[in-house]
Amino acid sequence: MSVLPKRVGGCCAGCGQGCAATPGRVLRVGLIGQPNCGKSTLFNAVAGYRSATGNYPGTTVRLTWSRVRVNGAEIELIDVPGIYSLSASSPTEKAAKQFLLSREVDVIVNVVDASLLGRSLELTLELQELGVPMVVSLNMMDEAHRKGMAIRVPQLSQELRAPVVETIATRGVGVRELFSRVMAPPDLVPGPVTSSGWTAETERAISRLERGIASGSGSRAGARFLAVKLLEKDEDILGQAGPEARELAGRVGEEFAQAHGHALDDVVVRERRERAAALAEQTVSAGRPHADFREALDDLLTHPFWGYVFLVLVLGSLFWAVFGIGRWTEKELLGALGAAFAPVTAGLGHHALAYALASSLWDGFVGGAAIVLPYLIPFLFGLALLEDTGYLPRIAYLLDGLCHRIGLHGTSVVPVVLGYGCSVPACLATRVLPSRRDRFLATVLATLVPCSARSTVIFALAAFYLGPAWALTIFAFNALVVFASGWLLARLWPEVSMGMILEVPRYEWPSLRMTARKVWLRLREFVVVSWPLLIGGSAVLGLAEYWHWDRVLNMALSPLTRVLGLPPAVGVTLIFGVLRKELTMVMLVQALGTTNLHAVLSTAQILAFTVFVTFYVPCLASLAAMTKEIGRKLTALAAAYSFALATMLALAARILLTALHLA
Amino acid sequence: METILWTHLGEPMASFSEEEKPAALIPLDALPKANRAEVVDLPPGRGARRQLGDLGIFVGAVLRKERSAPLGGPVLVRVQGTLVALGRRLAHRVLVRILP
Repeated sequence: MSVLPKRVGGCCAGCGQGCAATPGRVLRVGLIGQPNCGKSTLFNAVAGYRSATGNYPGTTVRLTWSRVRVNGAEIELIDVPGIYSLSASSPTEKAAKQFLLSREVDVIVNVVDASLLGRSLELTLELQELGVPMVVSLNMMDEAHRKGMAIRVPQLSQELRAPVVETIATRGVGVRELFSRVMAPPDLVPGPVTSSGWTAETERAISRLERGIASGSGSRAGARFLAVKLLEKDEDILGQAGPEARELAGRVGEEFAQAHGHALDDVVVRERRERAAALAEQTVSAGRPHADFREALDDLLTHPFWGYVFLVLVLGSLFWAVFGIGRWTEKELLGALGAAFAPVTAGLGHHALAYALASSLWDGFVGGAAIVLPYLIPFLFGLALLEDTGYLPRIAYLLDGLCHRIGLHGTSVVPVVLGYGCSVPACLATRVLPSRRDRFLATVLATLVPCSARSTVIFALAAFYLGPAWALTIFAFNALVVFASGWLLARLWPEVSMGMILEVPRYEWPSLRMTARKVWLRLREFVVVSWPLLIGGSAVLGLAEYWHWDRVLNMALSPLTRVLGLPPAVGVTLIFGVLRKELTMVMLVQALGTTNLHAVLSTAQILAFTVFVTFYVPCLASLAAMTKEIGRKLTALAAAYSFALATMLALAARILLTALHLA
Repeated sequence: METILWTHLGEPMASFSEEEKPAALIPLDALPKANRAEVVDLPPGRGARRQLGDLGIFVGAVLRKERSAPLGGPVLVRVQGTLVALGRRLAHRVLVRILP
């Protein structure tokens, strides 16, 4: 994803750079909530263009940090990844737990989906044990009303001993009020809770361990939370706790089991769940729900037959829309921008060096404006709509059966589909998968799928010069290769995975503003990083050609270009492609000195080039993301695999086409 | 399931008269569409139990089966007002009792 928070991890894990609570520094507020509770939307409502929102559990897998001005005061807002509880141990949940335990946060804003109050309050009760001041944002009140729920907010607030504010983040309702409570004078914010509604015997066990931890560490901060987690046998916390605390926790648990005949860890979880359910029951009056057409919609969209028909229709129309808009815009822009440059050509006619520089800079600019953006913008927009409407998890549901045929976890469909946008967030999205093996498989497959940059190459080369049918063929062929690769890899690394557990959130009417923000956020990556790189790269290539330096590189790469049946001048473009995939095509124009590529390249050559670019080594940013997720060794393996695959497939495409006399 | 239990445990408990006899336990994937059921048993393993519990699927929870996807795809259940998709193999290990 394009947002690189200024201080990812470092500060939150305690970097010692003035992060400790010092008087006079700004209030640090952590936004925490279950997936799909509208937390990121709330974050965006105040933080502006800083974080993407998503409907898929785990879209915001890293902590996004933003310094914002709310109600006239400056605060630091931290968007913590969506988590269901502080008990599970997926990488996302671990990251969130670590952040909360680091005690870097002054106030917690717990965002709760009001329409799912009972389930959501379990997390609220867990957070309460941290002893950090907390404000509850009772979000999605519109959905709760639609369900006929009337929530007695003052009572809930009293029971939770925390301010509760009703909000509708998508429309900005209640957001000002929420933050005024966050910044309220301390006497309104409750201190640590000592009796949090456990039964007497459970409370005794917790208090005993809490006192033990507090006297051991000399600090009461977080002792209660640690005590509860130790008694729950939380693996992370057990791993971090000192031997005395672990031993005491074991003893307390054993004595409890002997005295009451139940395992204490089960009792803790059950009591919290029951308390959450009871709280919801006490504070909610259920009325008549309004008829919800979305349930009827789901009957259709998850239907065993019509569901697939719609899936094909949705993905098909996405393809045709991107291609249609892109092609028309590309043609118009190439014409207009070409005409605009004509006077410069005339003016610089006999200054060879100046002309080489000016025209290559211009080519880089045109490449971005006329060849990349016309496809990239509609593509990102379509993908953001799939995410924001909540259709993406339905795709996962529909394709899970098929995935299992090739030994994949159905949830991995989501990273793979996200891979069509950009491989980097796709790699991050693999964190929701339960095992290392599933994450590796999904990462490899997600990076094999053509990202928007590679799709741009497919659109702008294959579709533009050879026709849309060829582009569609490449996409279909790619899907087949991804499928086959999954099958192969699943057999090389077999494992019986637990299977899909995925919440399918209700459909949301996408807010145009939020979707546009998300598109911009991903687009910004291109505009501020790739486009300048593209212009600079184009200039370097232009000058290299002027002084004939490119020949060295092309010569070095000639074994590869010869195998692919491409002119040697293409070699250098493939190096640029490792930086950014869209550079290959723009550089191709620059290297061959024409925008009418079909005049200098045969159909077979264009196809071989497109196929190669579609499959070969992921770009640098993806490689970095992959290394972070699956490690250096597996990343190298995946890169080698994709390179071998690209070479073989491009060669096969060329031979096949030549043999069929299609080229 | 029930009959297997009885054969292993001997005679049925005397306290159950014919009318009070509880409905048979069936795996979730065999639950007919649009039926409500109570969760009676979950697959072993803390990880799965925690994850299921987080989404409202725990012993004693009431859910409604919406449908299941073809090709051995997941089972879609509505629980506490939200939809959850469970892989078929996992759903097979969740035992439920049909509610009227």
